[in-house]
Amino acid sequence: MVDYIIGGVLIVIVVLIVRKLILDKKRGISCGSCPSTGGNHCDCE
Amino acid sequence: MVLSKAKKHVTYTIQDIETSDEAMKDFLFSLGCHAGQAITIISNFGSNMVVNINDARYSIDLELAKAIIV
Amino acid sequence: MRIALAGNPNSGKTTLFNALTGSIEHVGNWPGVTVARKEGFVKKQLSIHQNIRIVDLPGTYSMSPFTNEERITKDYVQQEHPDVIINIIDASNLSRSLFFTTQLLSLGVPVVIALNKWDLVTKKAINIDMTHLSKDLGCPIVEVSALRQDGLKKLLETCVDRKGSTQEPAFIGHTDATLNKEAWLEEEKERSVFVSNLVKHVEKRSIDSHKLNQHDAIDRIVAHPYFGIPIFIVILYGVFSISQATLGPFLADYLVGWIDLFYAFVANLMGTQVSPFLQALVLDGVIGGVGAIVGFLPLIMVLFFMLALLEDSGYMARVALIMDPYLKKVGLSGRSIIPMVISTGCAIPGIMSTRTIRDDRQRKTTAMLTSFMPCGAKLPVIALFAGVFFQDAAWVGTLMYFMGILIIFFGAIVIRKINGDTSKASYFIMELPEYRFPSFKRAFIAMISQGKQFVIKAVTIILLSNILVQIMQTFSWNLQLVEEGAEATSILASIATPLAFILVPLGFGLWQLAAAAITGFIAKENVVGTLAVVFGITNFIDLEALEVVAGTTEISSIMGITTVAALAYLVFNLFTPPCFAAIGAMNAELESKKWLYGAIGFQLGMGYTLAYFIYQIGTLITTGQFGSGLILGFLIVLVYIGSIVYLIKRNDQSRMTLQGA
Repeated sequence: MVDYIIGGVLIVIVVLIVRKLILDKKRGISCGSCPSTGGNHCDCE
Repeated sequence: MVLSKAKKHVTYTIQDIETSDEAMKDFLFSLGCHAGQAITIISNFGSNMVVNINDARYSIDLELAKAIIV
Repeated sequence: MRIALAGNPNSGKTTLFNALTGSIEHVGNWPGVTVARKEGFVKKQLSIHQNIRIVDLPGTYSMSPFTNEERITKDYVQQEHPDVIINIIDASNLSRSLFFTTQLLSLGVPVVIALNKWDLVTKKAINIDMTHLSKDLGCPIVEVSALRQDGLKKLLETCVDRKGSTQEPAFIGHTDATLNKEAWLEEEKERSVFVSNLVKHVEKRSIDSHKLNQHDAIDRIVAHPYFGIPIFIVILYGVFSISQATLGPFLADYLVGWIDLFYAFVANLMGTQVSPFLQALVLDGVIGGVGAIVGFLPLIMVLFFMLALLEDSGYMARVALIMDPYLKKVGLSGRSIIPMVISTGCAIPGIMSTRTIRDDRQRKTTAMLTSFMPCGAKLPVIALFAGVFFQDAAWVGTLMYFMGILIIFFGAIVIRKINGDTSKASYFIMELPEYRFPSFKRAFIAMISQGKQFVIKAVTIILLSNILVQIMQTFSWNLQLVEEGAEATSILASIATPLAFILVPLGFGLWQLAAAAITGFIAKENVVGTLAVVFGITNFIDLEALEVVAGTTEISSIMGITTVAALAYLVFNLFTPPCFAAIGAMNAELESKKWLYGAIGFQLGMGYTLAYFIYQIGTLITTGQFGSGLILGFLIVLVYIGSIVYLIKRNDQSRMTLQGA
């Protein structure tokens, strides 16, 4: 019984993560941050 | 003469920028690097030099120094 | 109400934008350029008016109708009609800043000037007659310090006041500048004279900027083409020492201790009620795998903190200056240094930033090579091996960065020989900001932001990869649970073993290590995560638990490789192609499949060849014999080097044919 709960939770987590990754891809967010401004997108000059 | 032959710590007035690269010329202009402006060599490292233009310090390379006529 | 924020690069615009706004949105890029468009609402505590929206326009020195970047400001104002423009100006450089200001004043939108870096002005003994200036320009001026967050409320109040009023231009040219290039240049010359005169009237400097000052004296040594390099090495070593060898691991110990407690807590909770597979999945795959990586968080954050301090002090511009002549010798421009520096954070924005390099071949070369700079994701890998095999020595990390730089130089030479040197004269100019004592606050903010990114990545992509790896190593192809001792029958092992065969000459021909290297292409941190999952090690930092005794150690018996092989493995993972996301960015910049495959081939070969030599020669030195797979590895390396030589010869031939004909 406990197994199913844990398994279920894991699956939900996996689905949420995959969803986030796909949405991020669509919005074009890259994985890095700018070293100087610390911001998310680089308009580093 | 070209800036690359100029003396350090002397304030010159730029006469012209000799280059066919229009985009670079425009960029330099917006920094205040154009005919009529004052320029001073602060340090000269041979392949690069540090200059003072319009109250700011810039490092430029030998190519660019050869293009600036004072 | 909508406010546009405009100003020169390096005027403190970004700092002001961050200080004014609460949450920030990225609404894609500005049309035609790679600069991201940022907008945000003003923080509630700064103004009684709600819903003030600020748009951060790209930093520029001038608004010319002839280039993409410079057209953005004008287009934005004409199409989207902001209520007010805040023009942020660096008070220590009026003459350059006001050039742009007079252009903004001609747009017909009320302008409010934010005179920034006011604290520096008093230090430099500059006196600005603000009343006079405000009158001459025809707009209000507010003193601010974006860094100290002074004057922000007054700035916003002034904007609200100015909303709806008319704005007269301060300078009107005699020609119609939009007609053609000549007319525009004429007007800009007149504008320049106008600004010069204006500045002469309102600014009094007691120190002549044309004279030498203390900063110049420092630069004579630091920016020197010879002395500068050892200084740079020492500084970089110091940074690594603090982050990887002392402060970093010290903090990491605590974090790892908590992770261990958490692991034990969950293990207890699950007890015997949960099936062994699920237990392993949750404990080793999830907590262990992600925990192994998160354990490195302190090292990474301290490193980024130090790099941010270095950048803030103004030193990095000097590094570009030192590198320029050397970069020129290999056919790159001094501007190639910028992508390389950005890539120490993440290679993706680094590769994208190569767009500012004008020469096509230099741009593509830089894009291809910049991922050889160890990125943030590679840091856990470096830290892992430095910690487990080299007692946290700081020289490991420093060495990796220098190898990266050397490989980039080498790669640039090779690419130039294969493609021929077609670059026109490219000029290098870079502003050298004054040295200043770096802001700990800013560095701290940057560090937290990067730390956040790291953790988010760890609990998403890396978590997924670990779960996948755990599943693949627990089951065999017919979905049966794999027995103890029979791990080689798991899905993971069966996929990785063929690859492991090729890796034997490099000293790490184990399927576990091959699997870790493969998962590294999803995210380089996965090398650590997968190793943790596959070897069942839940933390690599706590050395007491791993009891290192010089020479034969528990870790090497767990991982099954010698110290020399460990170094080879580290080099292999660092200098092969980057993660898929970065390869994607490379693809976008290279614009041709031929270049892309060439780049990946070059990177794969480089990692392999370096690891091969390190392992074989290192083993010879330490044991008096070559390692296994000497011949096989030699053949592979020969093919790689041979291909390069062939391509170079082919280029030479075609050039000679052209000249002959």
